[in-house]
Amino acid sequence: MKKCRPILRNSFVSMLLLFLLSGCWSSKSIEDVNIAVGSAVDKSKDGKIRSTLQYVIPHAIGTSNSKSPQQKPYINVSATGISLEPIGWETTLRREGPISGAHQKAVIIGQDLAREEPIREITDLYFRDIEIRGSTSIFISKGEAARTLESKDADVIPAIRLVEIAEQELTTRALRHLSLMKTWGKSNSQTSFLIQLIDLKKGEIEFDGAAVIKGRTNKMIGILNKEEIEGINWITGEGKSGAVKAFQKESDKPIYYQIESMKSKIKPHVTGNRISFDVKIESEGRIAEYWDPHFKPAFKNKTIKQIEHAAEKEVMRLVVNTTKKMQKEFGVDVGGFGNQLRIQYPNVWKNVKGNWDEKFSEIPITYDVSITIKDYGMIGSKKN
Amino acid sequence: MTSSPLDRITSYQAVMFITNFIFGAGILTLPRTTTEKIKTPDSWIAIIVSGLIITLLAVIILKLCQRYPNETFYQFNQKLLGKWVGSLLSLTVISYYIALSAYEVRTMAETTRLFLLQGTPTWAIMMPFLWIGLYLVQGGVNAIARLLEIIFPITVIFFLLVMFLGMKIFEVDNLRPVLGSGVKPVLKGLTTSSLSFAGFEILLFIFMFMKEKNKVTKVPLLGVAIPFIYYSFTVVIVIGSLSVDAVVSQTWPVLTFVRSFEITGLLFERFDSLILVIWIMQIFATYVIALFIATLGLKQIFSKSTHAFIYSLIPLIYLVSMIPKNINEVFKMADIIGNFSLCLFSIMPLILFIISKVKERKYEKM
Repeated sequence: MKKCRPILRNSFVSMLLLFLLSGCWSSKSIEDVNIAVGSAVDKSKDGKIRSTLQYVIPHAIGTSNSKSPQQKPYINVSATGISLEPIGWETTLRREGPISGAHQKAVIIGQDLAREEPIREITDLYFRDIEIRGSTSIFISKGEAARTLESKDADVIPAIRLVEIAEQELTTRALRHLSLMKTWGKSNSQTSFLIQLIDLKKGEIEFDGAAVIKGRTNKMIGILNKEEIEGINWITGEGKSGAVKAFQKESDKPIYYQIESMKSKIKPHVTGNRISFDVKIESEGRIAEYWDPHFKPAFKNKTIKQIEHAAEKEVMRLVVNTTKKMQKEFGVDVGGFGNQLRIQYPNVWKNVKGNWDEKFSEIPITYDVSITIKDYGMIGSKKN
Repeated sequence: MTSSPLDRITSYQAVMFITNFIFGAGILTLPRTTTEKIKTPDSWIAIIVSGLIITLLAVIILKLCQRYPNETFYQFNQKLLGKWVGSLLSLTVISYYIALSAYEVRTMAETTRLFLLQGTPTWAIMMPFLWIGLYLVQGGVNAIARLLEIIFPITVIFFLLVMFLGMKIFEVDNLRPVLGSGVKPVLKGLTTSSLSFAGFEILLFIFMFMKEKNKVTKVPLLGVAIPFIYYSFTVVIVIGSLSVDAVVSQTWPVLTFVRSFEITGLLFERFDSLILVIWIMQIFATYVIALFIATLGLKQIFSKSTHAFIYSLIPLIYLVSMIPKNINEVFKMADIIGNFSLCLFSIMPLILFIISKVKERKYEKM
């Protein structure tokens, strides 16, 4: 009898402990949570802010073709208010379940709003919120942002498609993928920067150009088109792949150079009060397409040199064009010139950083482009 | 005066004690606290310089301890300063450790409440933490040493892994220019970066337990060097990824950094929960060691049994940890504790060392 006691006592205590295993303190069943994957912020007609949240409907993913072909895997809920927090609560009046921002992938801001309110303030909630991550992508939409969260395809979640396009970074005609966290650093240091612009073409999204955000005001001031983005990517050397026209005369038939790698080095020079920049751009790649009927065989180095030269000229045109746009039209530095000056001449930078964007528009910049064609694919010459 | 069968720890375990005690809640805010003062990307230089200074201080402490191989600080300070002054000093040190463990527990609760268990009340997060610590401290120095040996590799490997995964968003340009504004800002940041090394003084209390007592200079050297490498690494990666301007605005820069990237293709996409869970172990280590030293002190000053002291310290720590009303006060508490420790343990060992030398000479003359 006496021997049994500790066993009895211990088993009793263990059984009591079982109650502690019943679950988490504040668990929420995943079916009840509205998982927001994207949100669009627009200016509403009455001058307030209209925010649209995209919730995923998990049971509609995968099974869509068999059971309910009509149901889309997402639902958009929107509400109006003067800032994002009250809007969030407002949406809970329309749809059951708490909102979870932990899987937020994309934030899209409408152009109208981005031109009026500083980006930093519109996105404040996204940074402050504990659930939303700094890796969330940010975009600006040409038209109404809420519409970019819609798609005709039955099994596509628009917010996730957006991020997937952005993350692939395939062509130099789109900007490098930009996360919320990176915009925070730039907004905080009052640097001008670019945000990918998206547009709707026939109801589907398309990456089209970039929104220019002025450092001082942190508001959108203009748009760069795809060609100017190419220029930016050549200046920063951040592109990964893409193509460049490699012929000069309009009458010529297309020849295209495919980029395999690009590099650029922005070198600031300071003599007395004068600041200038030298940009050295280098790229390697191959001939991707060559239509010319008066075919000069690529087996000959002379032809290669000619094509290289034509591509260099085109790149030069792109960067000079973009530079002109930055300096003359917008008066902002979005090519990372200021950053190089900060690194190499920190003392000079201290004096100019206050009005760098204005100063930048006066600074002479010279470019040096060198392109190397490594090969030309499977065809070296055509039979004539 | 000492408790009957003495636990012994190896030199490696002593290194673990120093390293784990230095690692604490501080690292989660380290990139911000140093950059706030320095305002240039040179925080890592400040960390390196202060690391070297702290190493020197740790070696002085070792030399002091080697003069009293079988006593802890609480015992030999009475020999050097007299019973009253010594006891007073010991009590100050004990209250410092109580405050420190309270702070660690509170920071743990704050970060957990923020990122992991959002609906759980603070007391419910703290209580298991406090109780498990109590249980461990009853086991004595050896039990703690073994726990440290287990958690150290886990925390370090996972932390480094997560840091390396973040290389994706790392930009060297954010760390340049090096010393762009000269050495001055770095000097300004030295005190804050030294704060992160608070805890190097642990040798004062555990030296008595060490098996090997001669030729152990490598213990403080290694014990400080590990956090030192680790800290500079963290600061470099976090500032390099977020840029100086972003780091100064973040409440928990290291956690922000971990949340700024996602790795696709691996088993897990996100590592913030992982790093927090791992880091809670490290905070636990600091808390347990502080609690252990505080109880050891009470025991040795009053020469009474340990258990009563441990039990009475737990509610006290809980109360102290609840003093800060909001997160700003928690950060302020960290500042006060860190400053106090730095003042106390950078000057005092040197003074004691000199006193002990002088006394020795006196005896020799006699």
